[in-house]
Amino acid sequence: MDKKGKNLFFLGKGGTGKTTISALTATALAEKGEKVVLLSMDPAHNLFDVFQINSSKNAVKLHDNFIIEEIDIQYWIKTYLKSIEEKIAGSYKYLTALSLEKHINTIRYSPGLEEYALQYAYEAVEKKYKDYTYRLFDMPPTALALRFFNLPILSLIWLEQLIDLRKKILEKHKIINDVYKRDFAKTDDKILNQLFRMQSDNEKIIKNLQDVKKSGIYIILNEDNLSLSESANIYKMISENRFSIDGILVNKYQDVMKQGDFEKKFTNLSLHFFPLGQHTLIGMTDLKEYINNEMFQQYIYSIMLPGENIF
Amino acid sequence: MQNFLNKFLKSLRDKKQVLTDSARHKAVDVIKWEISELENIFALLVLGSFVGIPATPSPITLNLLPYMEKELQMMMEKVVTASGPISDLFSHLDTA
Repeated sequence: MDKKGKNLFFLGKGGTGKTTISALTATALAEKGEKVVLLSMDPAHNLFDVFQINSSKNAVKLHDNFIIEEIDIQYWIKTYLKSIEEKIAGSYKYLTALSLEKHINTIRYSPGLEEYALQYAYEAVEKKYKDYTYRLFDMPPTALALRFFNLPILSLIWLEQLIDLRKKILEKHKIINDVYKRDFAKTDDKILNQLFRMQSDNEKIIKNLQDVKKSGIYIILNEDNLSLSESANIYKMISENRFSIDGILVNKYQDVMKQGDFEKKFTNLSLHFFPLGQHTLIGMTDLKEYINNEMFQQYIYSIMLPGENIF
Repeated sequence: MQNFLNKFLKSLRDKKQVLTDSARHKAVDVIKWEISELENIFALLVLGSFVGIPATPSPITLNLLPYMEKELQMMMEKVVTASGPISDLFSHLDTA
């Protein structure tokens, strides 16, 4: 296992048990002595409820090697916009900055910002917990989660076009400066530099998401056709971007649908079936009791020792 | 005599400078106009959402916004001349 740490993402249709499975996985990995942080990215958090502890805005240490934290998207949107406002105040004339205020206030509701806040938070917590062996992300419901994964891809397409156009503008400026025999440093263009910075940041995120040693995505589903077809769509979209999918987790399994049906839908993927518990899993005692079953242990070893057949 | 020659040479140099400057201005005027058009397109792509054109993902707009005061003002000015783009174009070509 690469001790630099791995990000594990849990996504799937609402209500399939993303929070429970990610809590179980984090608990099991921590029990094995791994350093684990579990982060809820879902705007409708219930992570603390699963562990039966009081909600907190800060990270909570459950054990020396086990931390949980709920990410507040609104906080990250505010923090991000504030940093932009400060940069504008520092570089714009007072009146222009003032007239932009209302636009900035409106833009916080514009599409695209929620997933960027997630990306912004993701980068920050990845840095904050860089010495953890596993960083588990309990993702928001499908639509927002997929937008989060698509954002760096979409941004790169735009950035490529904008860089081309900016370079064209700068070449023309250079011609004029040559005619007037003025010095012209193309590399000093703040806009082009910022475009390059964004391009490199997005490329880094994509590279990490495609690297099996650094990231793994788990799709959680239940034994019903709706959940199955939505998961197949998630799988299609995620694999189109060549992001690393580590497995399909069938939660609350009661043997109504044949395991072969799932294998047909998700060929070449590691499938794990978790039986429906006797009751809702709430609190550390319940979680620890559940993770002892053989199927779950097999799944945990597949995370810790990828590619090795333990059983 | 020496004085007269110096004055004459200086006047020639000045005239040459005027002619060179004029030629330079003519040579770059069209390029300047082209730049302003390209910058306007760049601004519309990045800041389009500010004038009602859905465009780039918001984070790209916001991350570039602090460095685009000039483009933002230019875009607003272009809105004023937008009703007469042809006359705007010919006024630039006339000077070339």
